[in-house]
Amino acid sequence: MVREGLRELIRREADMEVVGEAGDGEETVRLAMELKPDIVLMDIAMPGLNGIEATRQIKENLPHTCVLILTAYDNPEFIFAVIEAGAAGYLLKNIRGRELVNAIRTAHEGESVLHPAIAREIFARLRPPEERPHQEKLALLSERELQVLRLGAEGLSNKQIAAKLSLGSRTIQTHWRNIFNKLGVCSRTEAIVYCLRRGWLSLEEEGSERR
Amino acid sequence: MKKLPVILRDGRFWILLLSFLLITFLHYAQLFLFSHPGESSLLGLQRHTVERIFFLAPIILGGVIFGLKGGLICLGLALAAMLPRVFLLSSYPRTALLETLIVCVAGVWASWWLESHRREVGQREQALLRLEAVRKELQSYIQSIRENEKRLSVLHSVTAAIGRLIAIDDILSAAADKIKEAINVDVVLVFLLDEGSGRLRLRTHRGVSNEFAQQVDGLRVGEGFNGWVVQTGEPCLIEDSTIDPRVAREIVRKEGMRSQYIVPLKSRERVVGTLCTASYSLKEFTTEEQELLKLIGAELGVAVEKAMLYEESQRMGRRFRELFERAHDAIWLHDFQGKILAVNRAALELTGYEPDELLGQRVSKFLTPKQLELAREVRRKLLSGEEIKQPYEQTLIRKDGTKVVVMVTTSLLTEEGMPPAFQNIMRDVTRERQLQENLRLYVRQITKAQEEERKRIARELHDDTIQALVVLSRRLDDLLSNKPRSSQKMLSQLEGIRSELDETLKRMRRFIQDLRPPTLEYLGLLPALRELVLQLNQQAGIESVFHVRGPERHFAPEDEVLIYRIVQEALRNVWKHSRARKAQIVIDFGQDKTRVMVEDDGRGFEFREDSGFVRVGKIGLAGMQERAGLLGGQLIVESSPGKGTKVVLEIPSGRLRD
Repeated sequence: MVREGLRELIRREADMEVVGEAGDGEETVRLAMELKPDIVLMDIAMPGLNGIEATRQIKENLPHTCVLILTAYDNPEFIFAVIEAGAAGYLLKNIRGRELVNAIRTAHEGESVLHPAIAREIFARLRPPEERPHQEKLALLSERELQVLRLGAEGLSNKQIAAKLSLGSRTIQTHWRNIFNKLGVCSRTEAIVYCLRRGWLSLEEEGSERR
Repeated sequence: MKKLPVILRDGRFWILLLSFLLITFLHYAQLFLFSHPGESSLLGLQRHTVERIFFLAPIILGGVIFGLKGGLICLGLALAAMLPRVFLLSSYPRTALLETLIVCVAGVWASWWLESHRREVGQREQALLRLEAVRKELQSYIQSIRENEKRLSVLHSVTAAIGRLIAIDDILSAAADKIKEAINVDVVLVFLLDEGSGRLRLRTHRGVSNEFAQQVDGLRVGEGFNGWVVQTGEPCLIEDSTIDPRVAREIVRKEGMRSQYIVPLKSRERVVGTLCTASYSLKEFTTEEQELLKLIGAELGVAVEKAMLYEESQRMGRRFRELFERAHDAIWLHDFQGKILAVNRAALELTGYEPDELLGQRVSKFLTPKQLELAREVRRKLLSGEEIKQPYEQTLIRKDGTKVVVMVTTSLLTEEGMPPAFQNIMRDVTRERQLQENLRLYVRQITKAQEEERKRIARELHDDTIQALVVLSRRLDDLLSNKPRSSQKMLSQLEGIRSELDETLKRMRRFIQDLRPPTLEYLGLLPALRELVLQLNQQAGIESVFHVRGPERHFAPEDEVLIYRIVQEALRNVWKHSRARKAQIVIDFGQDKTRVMVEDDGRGFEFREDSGFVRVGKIGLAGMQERAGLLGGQLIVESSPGKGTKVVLEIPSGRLRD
């Protein structure tokens, strides 16, 4: 029923197309591998393989596919878990149709679909690893890209980042695109999570480590 | 000079005086009677010499009669009598003086000799007198020693006779015979006080008729002489019963008793009976005999008391034996080597063996090595005085190979004169254990079914109700997006429905959360617990922290639900009852067990481990404990008023899934 509604909703958008539908986790992973879609919309509660595991598997194989979680649960633990698993965003099922298609579009553009406050909280909880960051990998990103990343992690939108760095918002978009390509991810949330987990980025100077 | 009248009354003094005067007259007779008859001689001595020697007689006589002093006085007088003749009458004054002096010296010597002789005689006589006194004294000593000896030998023979015996009547008979023999009496009666009835029972009699014995048996305390002795605790002497006005019983007169002496039998200052001795003729009970009888009375009292205690202990022993045999609980005794010394009927029934199959055998016969290890541990702790939890659980193997679960209480028996042994009292709890196990299984099934049901409802709510609501809201979205075709009023109504729908969804989510937290289902225990702590922070406003110690491990999903429910209940208590400001939740993945601790700084409660939770109305805690039991772990609650509460759940590592 829900899937039906979603299909209808997306069909109406000119720039979107539903390429496949699955009824459980395993099928979702299999279909995603086969179809390599831009965006995967996924529930957590599914028979068999659950949404979190499915996300992890999809992201392992298809780093450039964005996974958006659409679920009935609003538990913060879930948000944290799916972001950690590599999801680009987390949406509640009762989201308005318009907001949903906007979120899909935003995600596809690489912007964050998380509420800035929630995003910050999640980033704060990601603990850097014990071992020191790999410098070679770090060298992958330019100084400017790191700046963009850090501001993004603070929850700033592209427009805000552009203003802060006195750059055009297109330029910022290009930076993000480059970051995504270099790190092999598809969303800014993923990029931030990726860097935070490797200790390339730390939020401590912003004082987000408060407990 | 006071002696003078005494001296004057002495006839010998007058004889002395007369002889002195006669000799003095003779000494001067030549002046009056005849003019010098010429020199005649007597025994070759001149007459004047003889006359002077005559004076020795009064001197010696004076010495004999009045001692040295008398002799010297007589000598002085003799000298005074002789000197006038020497100087006035003698024709040879020089010779006369010499003779006089010789006589004087002889007189002095004689007086001295007599005196000393007399003194010697006196001393000898005194010594003889003293010797005689000592001899008499010695004889009386010997006499009393002999008497004491006799008494002691009587006492000794009585003591020896009764010392060998155990039964009261044997003791009393032996004592009666000895007394009758040692003290010359015709009758010996021994009464013992029966504490229960307060009457004196005649236990032994010698020398009386059966009729008399029957009559005096059962005297009351205070009744008759014997009753009086019991009452006062003093001995009683009746010199002659036939004339004593105190004798009220005709039977005593009829029996013909005359002299009686009655002593109490005492043990530790308590009168336990009387010893009555009597004779058919008049008899004087000497002080010695009385003393002896008193001593025998005391001796007999102690012996009787001892014998009574012995009889009592024998009775108790029989009773215990009975108790042992008939006890519902199985009892066995075994020595240090595990050799079975005694078993009761219940123990035989429990093990299914015959007595001769168990007695003398080792306990290992019905214990497996593992159970034997437990038995050894108990033995070691008992011997070293360490504390052990009793009763403890043990499993026995019956003769037919089946197992019985028993609760055992083991104690160390160290009785004098017996080899030390272990006493085991056992109760068969196999059935109880089975019931308990069944109950536990049942609780487990119910808990599982409950969780399953919750899960099913939660699933249904999610997959069905929530989906339906989402579809509904999606339809509303469609309606709302077709603005031109709807009136403004309609739109606002649709908006209202839409937000109501959102509220309903929220409620649904909370409902599902309560039924079966999806976090637990999809993310596992730690995120679910973290969520609980977050709720406590946000909804209850209690500053709570969550710590994980050690590397994270996982339990089976049904076990994680149990742990989650326990923590949930603990946190609910913190929230609803503790009035705490701070709380701490710690999960510690240790080597051999996982500890989950919920601690608050709230008001705590009065808590005693032994009173079950249900009984004190802590149903929540009881449920937690039950769940802890299902986990194979235990729940430890520490709390006291004003000191906060600490709940610790311990799960053995055997429950871990990885």
